[in-house]
Amino acid sequence: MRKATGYRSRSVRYGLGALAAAAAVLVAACGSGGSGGSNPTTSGNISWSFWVGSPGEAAVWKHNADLVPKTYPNLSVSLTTTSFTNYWTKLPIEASTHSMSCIAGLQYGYVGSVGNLFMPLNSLIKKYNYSLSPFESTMIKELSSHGNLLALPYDFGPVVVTYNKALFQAKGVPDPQPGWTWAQFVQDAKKLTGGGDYGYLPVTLGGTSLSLELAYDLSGTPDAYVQNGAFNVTNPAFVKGIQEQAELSYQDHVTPPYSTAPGWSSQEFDTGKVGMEVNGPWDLIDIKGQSSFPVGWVEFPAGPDGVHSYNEGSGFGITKDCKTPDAAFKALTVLVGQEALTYAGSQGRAFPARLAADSSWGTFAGSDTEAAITTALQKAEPQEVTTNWAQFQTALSKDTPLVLSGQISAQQYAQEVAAASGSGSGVSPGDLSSILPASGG
Amino acid sequence: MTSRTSVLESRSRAGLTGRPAPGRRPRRPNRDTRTAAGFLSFNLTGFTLFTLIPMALAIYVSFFNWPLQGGQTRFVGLHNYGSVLSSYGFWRIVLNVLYFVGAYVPLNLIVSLTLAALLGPRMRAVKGKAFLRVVFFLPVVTPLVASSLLWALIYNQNGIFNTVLGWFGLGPVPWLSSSDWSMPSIIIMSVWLGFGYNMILFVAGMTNIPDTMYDAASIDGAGPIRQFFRITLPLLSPLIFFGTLMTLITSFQVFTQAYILTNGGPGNSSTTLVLQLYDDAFQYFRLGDGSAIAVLLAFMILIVTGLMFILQRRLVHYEH
Repeated sequence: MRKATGYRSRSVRYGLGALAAAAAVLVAACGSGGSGGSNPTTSGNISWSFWVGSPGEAAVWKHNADLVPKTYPNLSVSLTTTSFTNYWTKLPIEASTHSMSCIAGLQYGYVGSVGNLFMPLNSLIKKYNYSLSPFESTMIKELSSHGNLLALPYDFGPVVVTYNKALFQAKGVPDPQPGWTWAQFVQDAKKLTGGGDYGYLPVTLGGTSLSLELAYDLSGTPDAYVQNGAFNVTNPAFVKGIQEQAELSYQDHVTPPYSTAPGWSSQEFDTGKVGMEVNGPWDLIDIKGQSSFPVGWVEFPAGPDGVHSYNEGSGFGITKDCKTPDAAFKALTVLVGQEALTYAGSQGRAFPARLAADSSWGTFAGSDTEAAITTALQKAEPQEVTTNWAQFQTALSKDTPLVLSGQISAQQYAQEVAAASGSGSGVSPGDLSSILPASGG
Repeated sequence: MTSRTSVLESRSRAGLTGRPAPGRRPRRPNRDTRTAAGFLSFNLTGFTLFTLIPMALAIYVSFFNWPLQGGQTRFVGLHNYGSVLSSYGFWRIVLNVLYFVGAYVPLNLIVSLTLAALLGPRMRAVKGKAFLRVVFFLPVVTPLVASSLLWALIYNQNGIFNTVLGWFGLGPVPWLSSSDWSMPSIIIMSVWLGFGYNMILFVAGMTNIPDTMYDAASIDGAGPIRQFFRITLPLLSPLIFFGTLMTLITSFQVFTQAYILTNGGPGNSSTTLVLQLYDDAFQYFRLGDGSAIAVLLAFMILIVTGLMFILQRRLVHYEH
């Protein structure tokens, strides 16, 4: 027994020693990696998590990750990618285990629901005197919440209509031009329909729900789902915006039958049997890569109150799990720097949020396409999102087939979506005056 | 036991067991217990780590307001249960699950039992039975996601089903985009996916029924159908009970098919409890609500399983 006791006490001593050593290592690691220290870490490997829709997109971001060590030789970036849909599930799960990547993508729509996982960049922007003036100002607002900028934007763009030029030509329909109207849109869609072809894809590209952007265009009411800061989809403006879209399907029959097959909305247009869809400049890389026909771009048709569209985009932020925010910020400035965004633009993946890099997208897209985007940009506005964005999007998707087929009215659709989404409020960017006037960095 | 005891005693006498001399009470039970524990330890460890602890945690979390992404964890008692039970569409979702279970379980059993009878040992006229059994079993071992994606294409507007219906001037049926058809579509797919397991189970059971019983029945003038209902079914009833129970439990937990094919839509027409659990926990990040649904579902399964065990006393025939 004495021997056993001696063995145990020695084990305990060894264990305590190991614990002390581990604690010392941890303390040392915390000391060297903390952002609040006097000598913040600005070297090492930075993890970066982002969504991609195709191998071509992944290659663009991998190229940009490799730019970081060229600017900061002590820094490197490891990129992890997943699909857009999975990304928003993965990120909070990683957050719950404190294992988020240092840098992560943030789309404007998710600022309200996952914005709290990101570190406000205000202090780093001030610390490094980083200038936001080269960026599109609407994107700075869309990626901010309560006066905190949560991500530096990499792209933006107005939501527009893309159309199959070959189908328009085959059906003898003239290409739509800027200034066209909703009545003309419907007329064109009808002419394009027939012989297995359809005029319009009734859902947003890559998604499964009706277009909030068109709802704005058709109702003339910005953010028709938010009123006085509160989530409210049962108001007449939202119902009107949905009703007219749904009529294209169940009344005019100019849309292909709705399908829940994965990737349907992305692939349906690529088949060449659909004339028009709602899209944005970020998709140019995939459109060029996957469509076997020429694609035209045009601003939204004018609704009863003129042309309205949203300016939408995304950025990269630093997550709250990042132990080396200073190093991450340095890497971040490269990822949204002139060279990186010029490359992303030149590959058609992003209409750069850094305005001086915009022309690279036009070079890849062609002058007509660039002109269409430039025209649309003049009328596009920031979109307000809600704190219950994920529930809202899920509810929109689930009930879309019912309203498109006329099984429920737009009013019922709005009521169902409201009930299923729960309560929420609009996300305000807040006062950004402390970081917006900065210049020089 | 006698022979085993004598072997052990002789090993002990020969000094092979390393035990003290005879005269003391043999310690076989202890060693047996240790051996059993050794074999069980792997399973027990896995069960504890991956089943027991998660279950306990789910129950624990269900009493908390537990936001997955940051925020303060707060004890809320039974609030999550009240919130889930009164949430929009919850009872519709419960009905969906009962609809699925009520249709899927009998269909699965009918199809699997019928095919087992056709491909079993009594049907000597059927050729290539082994091959057919493998073919019918293939969906069971095919990844569920892959199968679901395949069926999404089959159910498409221009998919195989609507094409075939079109040959007869019927359809097209909006398999996945109509609230009337979404759940039947998931049920059909699930039956295709799941009957193979029960079929193999039943074929194995039929193989164990002695031919002498059928021979005696034939001499007494019983035809194949009468033999099936009077001999095969009663003697197969323990396996049918097992198959029914397992099918019932898994059908309450249906998720992947609904997630891939319809994502619970249109509306809530094909949302299942596990899908709602997933949405609550991993889409809306309300881990407390998700855990409450998990506990409620486990409770439902427990009740149904208990009822099944009560019923088996009357319906299951054990040969002794």
